[in-house]
Amino acid sequence: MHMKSFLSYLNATADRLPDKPAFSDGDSGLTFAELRRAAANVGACLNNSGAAAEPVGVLMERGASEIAAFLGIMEAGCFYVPLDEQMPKERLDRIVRTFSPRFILADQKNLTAAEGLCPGAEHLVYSRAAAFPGPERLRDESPEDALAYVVFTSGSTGEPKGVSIRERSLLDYAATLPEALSFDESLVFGVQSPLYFDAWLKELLGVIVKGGTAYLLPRELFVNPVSLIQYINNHGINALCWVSSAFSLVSRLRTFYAVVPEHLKLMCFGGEVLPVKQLSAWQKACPDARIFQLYGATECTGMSVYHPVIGPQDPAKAVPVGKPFPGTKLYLLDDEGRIAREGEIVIGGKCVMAGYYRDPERTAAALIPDPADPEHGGLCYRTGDHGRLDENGDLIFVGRRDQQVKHMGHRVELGEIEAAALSLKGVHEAVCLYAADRQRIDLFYTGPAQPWDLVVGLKVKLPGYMTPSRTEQRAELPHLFNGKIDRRALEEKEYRR
Amino acid sequence: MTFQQLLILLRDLHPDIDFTAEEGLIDRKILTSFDVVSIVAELSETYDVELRAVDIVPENFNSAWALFALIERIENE
Repeated sequence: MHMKSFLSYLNATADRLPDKPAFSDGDSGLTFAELRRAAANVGACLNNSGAAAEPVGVLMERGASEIAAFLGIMEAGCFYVPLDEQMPKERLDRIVRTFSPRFILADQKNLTAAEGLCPGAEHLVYSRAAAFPGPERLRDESPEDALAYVVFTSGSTGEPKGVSIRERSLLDYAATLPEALSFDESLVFGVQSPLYFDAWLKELLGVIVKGGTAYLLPRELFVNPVSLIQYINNHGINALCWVSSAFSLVSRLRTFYAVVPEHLKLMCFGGEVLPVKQLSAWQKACPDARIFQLYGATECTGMSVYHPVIGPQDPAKAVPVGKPFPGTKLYLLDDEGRIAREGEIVIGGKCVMAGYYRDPERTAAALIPDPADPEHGGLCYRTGDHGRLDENGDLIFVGRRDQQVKHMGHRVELGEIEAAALSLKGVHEAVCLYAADRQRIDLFYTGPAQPWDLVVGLKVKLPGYMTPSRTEQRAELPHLFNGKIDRRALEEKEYRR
Repeated sequence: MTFQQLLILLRDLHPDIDFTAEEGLIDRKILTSFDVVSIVAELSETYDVELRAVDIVPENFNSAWALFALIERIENE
């Protein structure tokens, strides 16, 4: 099925399965017909207010309505910029400053916060926009090069980067991922990720393209793993596309001694390495599930590379992340920029972002001409990840080339935390280390400020997942000859490797 | 394990929280699910206290006192 617009998929599925639930948050939800209706109305309301081909901020509670808002913004020919109600004010301010929206869509609960955040913009209340009389069907054409969304990720200088994704990249994702992972209508997803990143697009495709159903799992269930699995069983959830750390959280808490997922048919993990011990705990608990490891980058519209995980895995070897989706290009570049069997992972194809929003400098540093066809191959994205190919030609993820880490499934630039710490009074030097085995960020600093001051100071500057697990004052930090802090020496001293 | 040792373990995670007074550690989203994993791992590795999956519910983690009561129950079994 070849579609000209991403929203055509929703038209087709809503025609076929109008009364089937599309998204649900447990208590309330939207069927396919209701989702299409809400998106059409929101789109018409935005156009009626004068919005056209521009960013629209969304400040809403995570739920089915938020998804209708995103799709409605695309229906209006605009692109959505998700804002998280739990994000610290300072970070939200920076993001809003970068894309200076004329329109913000908010639910009643977040309206006052949205008005405070962006006083100059026009604020539309979702419930009213969704009741605006719109057309019966969503648009079946999309303007060339139109953007679909901009999501903000961590940037090493402290300034978040707005990854701008075109609708045609989303269309390409819709044509490849559901086929590669054999999604079908029978799948019932349990969405773990927040909606302000791109990780949940996998489930969006499973629902909109294939006619599956998705439950947005309440966040608090993840501190109650037995209830989480009971919820999954009670709602007939049979497909989980989670970050690796969420899977390992459940198995490490010995949940499976009490309860196991009864219906699981499909399990996709990615975002970071899943220890083989935890993987095999899931394999044992859910012997009938097909399992995939996925790899990708926000800059390449989510996932680009996949690998079916079959049978027991060797704990001494890394589980491959596999081969690219059809049509996606994957290269490894050595230090001289030559194509090699080991080096920096570079991804090309329709999935590659338009750029970082209003940031030509960082865009130019991240995107390079196709190494195999510089004239006609288009631009490719340098992931900053290091990889190698195994004997089967499968990609193996080796690690990061810089100070970026994956923490709780989120991309975190340690430099951004350091920059935030250095902006506080009484902090002379600051350095972050990541203890991957214990999944914690440790911050070391010099200066008269007390650790408590840093903890409190950083909480208002950084999202929760970026605040250090431990903050330690030191009389001095080790240095290299060039004056930079010697991370390796500090790591050896602090972790006694 | 003493209550004092538990307090040190918790303060290591969140030095800004008064764990002797706070009664909504989970409900007020002070402890994340990853903190819970860290606590469970630390109790097992350092203090030999093995929590069961059914023990990992918000009621047992909402205050340091509730968690300590659970630890005592397990140690006395």
